[in-house]
Amino acid sequence: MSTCAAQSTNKVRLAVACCVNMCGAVHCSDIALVALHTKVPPIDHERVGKICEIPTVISSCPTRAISPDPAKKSVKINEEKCMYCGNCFTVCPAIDIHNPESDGVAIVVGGKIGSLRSAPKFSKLAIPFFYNEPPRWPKIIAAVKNILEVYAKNARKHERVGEWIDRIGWEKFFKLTGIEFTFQHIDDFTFMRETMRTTPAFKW
Amino acid sequence: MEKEELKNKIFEYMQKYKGKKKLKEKDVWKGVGEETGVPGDEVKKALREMIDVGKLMYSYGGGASSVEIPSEEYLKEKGLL
Amino acid sequence: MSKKKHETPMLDELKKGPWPSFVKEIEKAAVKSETANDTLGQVEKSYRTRRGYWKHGGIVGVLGYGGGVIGRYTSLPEEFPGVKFFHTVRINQPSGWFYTSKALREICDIWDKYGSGLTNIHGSTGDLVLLGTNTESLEAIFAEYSSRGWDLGGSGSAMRTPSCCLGPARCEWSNINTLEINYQLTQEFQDELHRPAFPYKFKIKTSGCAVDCVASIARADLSIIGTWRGKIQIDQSEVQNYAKKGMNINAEIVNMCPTQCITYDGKEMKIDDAECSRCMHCIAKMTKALRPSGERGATLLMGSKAPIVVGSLLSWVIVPFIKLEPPYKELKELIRKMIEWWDENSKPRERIGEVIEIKGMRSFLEYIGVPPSPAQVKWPRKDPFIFFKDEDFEKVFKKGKY
Ligand code: HEM
Ligand code: HEM
Ligand code: SF4
Ligand code: SF4
Ligand code: SF4
Ligand code: SF4
Repeated sequence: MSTCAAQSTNKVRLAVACCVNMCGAVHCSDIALVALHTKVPPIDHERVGKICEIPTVISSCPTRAISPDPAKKSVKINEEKCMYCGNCFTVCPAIDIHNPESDGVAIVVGGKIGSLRSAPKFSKLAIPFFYNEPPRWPKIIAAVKNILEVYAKNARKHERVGEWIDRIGWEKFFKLTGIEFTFQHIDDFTFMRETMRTTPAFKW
Repeated sequence: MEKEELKNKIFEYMQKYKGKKKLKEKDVWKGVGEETGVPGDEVKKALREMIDVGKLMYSYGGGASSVEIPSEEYLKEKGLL
Repeated sequence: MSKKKHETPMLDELKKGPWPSFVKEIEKAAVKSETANDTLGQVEKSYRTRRGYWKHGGIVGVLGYGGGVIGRYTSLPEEFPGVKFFHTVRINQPSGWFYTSKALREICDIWDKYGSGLTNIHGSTGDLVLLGTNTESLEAIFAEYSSRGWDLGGSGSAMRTPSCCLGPARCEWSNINTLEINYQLTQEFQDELHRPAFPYKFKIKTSGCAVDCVASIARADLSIIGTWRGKIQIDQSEVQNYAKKGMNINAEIVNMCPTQCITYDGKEMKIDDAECSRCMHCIAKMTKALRPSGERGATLLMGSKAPIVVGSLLSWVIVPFIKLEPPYKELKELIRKMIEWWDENSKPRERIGEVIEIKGMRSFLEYIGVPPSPAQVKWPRKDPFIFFKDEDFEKVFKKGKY
């Protein structure tokens, strides 16, 4: 990325999180990759009874998606509530959330830590999903390069990625980068209220 | 109360909950404090002395820490058995 | 000496190019360590099958300590016996991560003796992280490190090793002695660090200014950020030097000041200090010309955390300004009160920021003895659902203090 960095208008903090814990302020980076699961984990009921503490499994779930399944001496997962975090797997290996076919990577952009000019920001979803393509993940690299180049070309001097996007608007960001906007981009988990646009003034 | 007696009480308390409830340090200060009338701070001191010599131990699971009676395996590993 | 055990065509791809390669580093460690050797094998397998094989948990640690060692295992011990155990050891880092090369050699020599030789310097927690050892070695590892003055870091439901930016040791922007504050807090909270008694983790991070190089605002339950109350001093001749060297002062500084409190007429720069929000932009870009002055201290912000469990939070202002001078008595007492309130009001695995959200700012502020202030909010309450206590009428509204 060194050529791009030379052209960019401010520092770009590129960060990679291997899971949704996003250790190390990955969630406040200019461009970040985060690895994620995309499906409700399957339960191996026979093993759950043998190797897991049921109350611990139930309380491990942040969204309270897990409840007892007394008939099977196991647990069940409410699919509506599960957001694939994998916490249950951490305490109970019989709920194996790994799935090579559907695990992948999202790109989030526009985060920042320092308070220079504008307040610190979270990174926000740019591209919801890439399949894992080891060892070089070429599609992800190309997508990051595209975002970086569009930023370097369009941002004003000293603007961080998030400041540039705030100035031009997210609708413009998607247009300039050519990234498709999908249902996944609309926050319907916890923060919908503050993320919806409440004005008819936006850019075509 | 003599410290040794207090330590015995703490151990009894731990045995009572073994396998039933995960106790945090604070649960023990409070619980034993209520049973014996000994101030929480003293229970805390005695409890920590017990932990330092492996009579009790800190444990961890599902993201939260607790205090437990050590298993034989643990005591062997630490050369205490 | 162990030979390379595993064919790693996928990882070999990642040795190409001019930049540092983690594969090359693990290969170097693998020459001496079976653990590192099997790490390579397992990571290659993960690349091939596109899934991870690490497990965590189990009761591992050293006598008397409730944290600092994190149990790690492979789920494929038969295939990769070298990583049957792959525990992480966290070492309490010095303030600002300053080491002599001798100290680093000492740490690494001990680690070569007992562990995989692989390190992570530093983890985002702040600690110096040693990767990959077995359960039997833990007491010996601890004995060797502690005999040389090192200690374990934090993990579990306890305080994490406090961390700070390198502050006044290397950076002229620092408003506070981040290094000493961090050292003093680490000493003060030894029990809280090593003996887990909290509802969940608690992180303290200290930055010398709003640039916030340790990202305290994004990942510390308590973010201590240095600031000042006074004027920004302007060296007009240095301003001219920046202009001569090609800086477009109006575009790059005046127009980018978030409070629009700077003017520049081509000759003289002026700042309306009463309007300045101390964001650091102008100072960072014109370091030689601009410099804060007056009283120094910090803003205390609280509550930030990563996405797990119910969404990420940034820290928000609790104490707009506090003076921070040795022996930091006020700060230490305040932190104890914060923790007490959290402990009283929290369910297991709730971070303090989440508990403040649930129980409300009023409960928290009253307990720690901090008054409400507009500095704490972006905007005041919008809906007319307003909550009153009887005493509020006596203390505030009958007096008409508004
Ligand atoms: C051999 C395997 C593993 C290694 C070498 C490893 C290494 C690390 C390192 C170096 C950190 C510190 C990150 C930082 O502070 O920058 C970390 C944090 C963490 N890891 Fe792992 N990890 C492993 C497996 C796991 C597994 C299997 C889990 C859970 C399923 C896990 C959960 C966590 C969590 C929750 C943290 C954050 C802890 C905190 O906030 O203090 N890790 N790990
Ligand atoms: C030899 C002297 C210096 C050393 C060793 C040093 C070291 C560091 C370190 C370790 C970081 C944190 C990087 C990170 O965690 O991401 C940092 C960040 C930073 N330092 Fe320095 N620094 C030095 C001098 C300076 C000076 C003189 C200035 C300004 C005049 C400065 C401005 C910054 C800025 C702007 C950041 C980035 C903050 C951000 O990530 O937004 N540093 N420095
Ligand atoms: S917890 Fe997740 S983000 Fe943090 S080090 Fe482990 S895998 Fe990476
Ligand atoms: S993956 Fe997460 S949200 Fe889904 S059931 Fe498991 S713990 Fe709950
Ligand atoms: S936070 Fe501020 S004082 Fe500390 S190193 Fe960064 S720029 Fe310097
Ligand atoms: S510190 Fe920020 S707010 Fe204050 S004058 Fe400089 S740019 Fe403006």
